[in-house]
Amino acid sequence: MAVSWGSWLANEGVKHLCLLIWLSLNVLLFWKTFLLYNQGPEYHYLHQMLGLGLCLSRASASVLNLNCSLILFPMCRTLLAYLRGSQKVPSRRTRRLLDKSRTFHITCGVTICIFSGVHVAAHLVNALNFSVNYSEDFVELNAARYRDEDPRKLLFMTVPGLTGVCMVVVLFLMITASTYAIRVSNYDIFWYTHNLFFVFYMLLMLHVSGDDWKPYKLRRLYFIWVCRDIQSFCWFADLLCMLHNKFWHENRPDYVNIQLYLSQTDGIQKITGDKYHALNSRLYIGRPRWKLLFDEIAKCNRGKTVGVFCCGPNSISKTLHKLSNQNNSYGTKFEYNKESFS
Amino acid sequence: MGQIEWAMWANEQALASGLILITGGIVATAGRFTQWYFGAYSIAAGVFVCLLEYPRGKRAKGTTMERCGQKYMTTVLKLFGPLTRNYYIRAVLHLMLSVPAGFLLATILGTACLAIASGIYLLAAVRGEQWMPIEPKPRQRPQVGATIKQPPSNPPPRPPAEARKKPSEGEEAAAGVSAGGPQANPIPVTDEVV
Repeated sequence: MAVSWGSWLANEGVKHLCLLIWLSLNVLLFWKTFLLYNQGPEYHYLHQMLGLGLCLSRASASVLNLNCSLILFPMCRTLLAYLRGSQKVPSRRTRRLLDKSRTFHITCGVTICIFSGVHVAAHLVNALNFSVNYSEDFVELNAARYRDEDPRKLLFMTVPGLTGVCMVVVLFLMITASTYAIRVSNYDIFWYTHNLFFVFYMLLMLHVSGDDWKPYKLRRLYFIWVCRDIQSFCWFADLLCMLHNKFWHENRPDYVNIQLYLSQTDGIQKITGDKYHALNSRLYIGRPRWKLLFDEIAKCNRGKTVGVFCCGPNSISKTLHKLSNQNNSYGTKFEYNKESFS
Repeated sequence: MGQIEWAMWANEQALASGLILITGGIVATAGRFTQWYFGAYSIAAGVFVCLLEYPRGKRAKGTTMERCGQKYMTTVLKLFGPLTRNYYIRAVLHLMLSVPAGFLLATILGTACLAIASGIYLLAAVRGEQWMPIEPKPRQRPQVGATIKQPPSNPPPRPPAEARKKPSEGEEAAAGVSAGGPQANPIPVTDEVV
């Protein structure tokens, strides 16, 4: 029998439109994240190490993020009942759409299932690549700590790894108990296992925060040292020179940005010795102008998180602490850390 | 909790584990990672588990949904008698099959899932469940002679006289209602133009 377009639109139209919007969102997220990790300059070295696994794991993670956020809403029965019964939802069309909430829940569930598979497979390959492609040059980028570190250790002894494994187990239990055959024959199994969703979300919170274990991916170190008289710098002059030369020869001259400040303005103003030439050219007379320094660092690290580590007297600490909390126009965050030995 | 049939859930888990093992095995062998032969094992074990678990066992109560085309494997499984009927044996078998896959990262999840399925099978075995094949019901051909019985001796039950109002012919034609009998509308249906 031929379909009546009027009836079809009324019955299926809005539902298919919503499905199309949801699908487009997922595709867009996946594509954008994939491209970001495939081509983004800040991920260049990571991409060299991990290849396609990096892009797939991150792209699937963003799709998982979206669907895990959406999947709970169709199950908020009180909210749905309220919407359905209230004056806020006047049209029959919207009410009929709300009837499809369970189907949407299942759709999100199936998507989570599929993309979890992609995410896990990609990360397993990543773990292997971290271990095999370990290089001394990129220690900070690598999750492995030495070459050929057993990738199973990476899986079970890191927070994201362990929470990931537990989540897969929970997901496995929930999905196998949600099949039509089980729901129809043993509804109890379905009901009890599905309540594990709470555990799943707790693990998920830990899983994503585990990535913050290495909060400061070190791109540049600003070393600012304030001393009252010139001789104090001799304590570490040799070490600083050695560091400076090392990075200079590794073609990373801007990796450590050394600034020495001599707060007492009368007296000798140069460290004696030719070999300290690099330090002398980085020596400033007078106290550092912290505000200008913070502004410059913020400008060079837009939108990033910068760790501030202060070791010194309270007066400097207070100033730095205040400056770390202040707003700047570059979207840079300063996290303040303090340590002192007096 | 008393009426839960654990074997059915264990069966779904084992089938899913088989698929996970196959996937992990493919990732391991295709990537040619070290010890890729564990990956090859994983594929073989996965296929075996999937074949073994494909035919769903019969539920103790009620009807069981068959999986599409499961009758072929059912015939094979029936041949093994107690080896396939007993869930203790299945639990041990799955546990043993899962161990080698645990050595490789790509297949370690398959190990975990199959081990869980093994545990649920053990639970099912402890509760006395067994795998029973789903037999196809013999189709009963209605023999023409046997269906002719004695004609009914009593007339069909009718509603009391007051309810048996005869509708007028015009309304009857419009409403399309058959005259008399339980289908008559107690309230006459009129085509009201509002």
